[in-house]
Amino acid sequence: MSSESFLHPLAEVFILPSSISVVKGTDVLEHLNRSLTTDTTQIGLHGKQDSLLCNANGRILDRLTLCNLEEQVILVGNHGTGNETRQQLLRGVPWDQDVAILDGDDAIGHLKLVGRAVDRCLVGLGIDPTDIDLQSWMEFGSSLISRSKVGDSFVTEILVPTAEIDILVDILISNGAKRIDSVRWGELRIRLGILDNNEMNPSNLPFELGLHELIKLDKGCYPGQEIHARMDSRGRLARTLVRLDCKTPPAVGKHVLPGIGRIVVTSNAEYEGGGVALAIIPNEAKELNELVFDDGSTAKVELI
Amino acid sequence: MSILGGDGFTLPVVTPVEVVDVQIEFTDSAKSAMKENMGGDESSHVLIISAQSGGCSGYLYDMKIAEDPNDSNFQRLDAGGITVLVHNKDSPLLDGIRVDFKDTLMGGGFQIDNPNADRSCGCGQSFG
Repeated sequence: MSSESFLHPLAEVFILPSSISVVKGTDVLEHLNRSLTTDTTQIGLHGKQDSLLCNANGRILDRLTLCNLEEQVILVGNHGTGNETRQQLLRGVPWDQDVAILDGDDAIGHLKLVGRAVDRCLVGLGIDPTDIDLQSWMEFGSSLISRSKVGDSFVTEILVPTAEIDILVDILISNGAKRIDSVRWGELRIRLGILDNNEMNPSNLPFELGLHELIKLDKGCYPGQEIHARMDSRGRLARTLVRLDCKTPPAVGKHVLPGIGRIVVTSNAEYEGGGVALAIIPNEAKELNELVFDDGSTAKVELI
Repeated sequence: MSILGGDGFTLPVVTPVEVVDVQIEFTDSAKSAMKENMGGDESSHVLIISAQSGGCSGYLYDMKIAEDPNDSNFQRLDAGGITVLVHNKDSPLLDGIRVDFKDTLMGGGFQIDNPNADRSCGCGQSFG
């Protein structure tokens, strides 16, 4: 996986279905800080932060990427979770705080750009790639551009008004990017270890998915904090997320493996010559090189 | 045009609330602590009890002495001569609570027992 030979030599662009919310008001950052797993109070103008919204049992309700636009914060969440996330955030607005939440699902699109030379594609748009960083959103026309680090790779993120998505994608294509469909994205995201709502959902705890960086136990209370603090202090996990590399990917769902017990395959994808999957397995099993399924097929275990 | 300047945004999302007539029980020690905290401003000030998101269990209690907002969205209760307000949006969460006051150095102060809570935090300030 480290050679990243599966990546396009230049760039591939995917319009990622995402939930978009805009939280407005003078008390926005304080309100979000009470609900999310990270400290939102110090995000600067155009600042970017990844965070989680969890329930009281510590399980994941949504993963949110924040963009602070001064008393207006864009929340980019998992596909299909927007309504519940908005209601969850709205239910806790105090009577004396100025916070309103808008549904922006139809207003803003979310592009992901991955490849071995994405910057060459961006330069063609007149963007200086050195201006793009991990902690902030850079304005480009009416769009916002940032980067995320996933394992050893970088993913460029673009938020764009829905009405301008096609124009922007066309410009990216004219500068060497290739538009990909959900099948290719499914393969890419599993290979890169990018999680979505197949993994980040109420069945799972952040630590099981390796999302330690999105949990800030020193920020004070938030829903789920007690559970997270207990898991952190115990320092051991019952389950963990791994990538499986195999000839034919196992079906999504529960499997019982002899000698190992229950594993849950959360996502899978096939590509020419093989398949990949993400699975939550008993923590002890991550030390194994290989899992053997009840049909005799095998899968190589890779840590994410 | 900016990222937020385009079409497609909804009006602010609203969450439906089933307003209930709030009943709160105050113990004698709570009433007496409230009176002491009011400092003689009972005629112009009120105690507002509310719930907001946060805490380990989902919601946090908040108690605030403030000038009477004279807002019809609040329900008014009397607790030994002190006016207590609860916002209608918080009414399902706070109806039936019992407010006590413990005068101890460790873990003292106002304590709320909430029959609506499925769970509460160890510190007693959060419920869900």
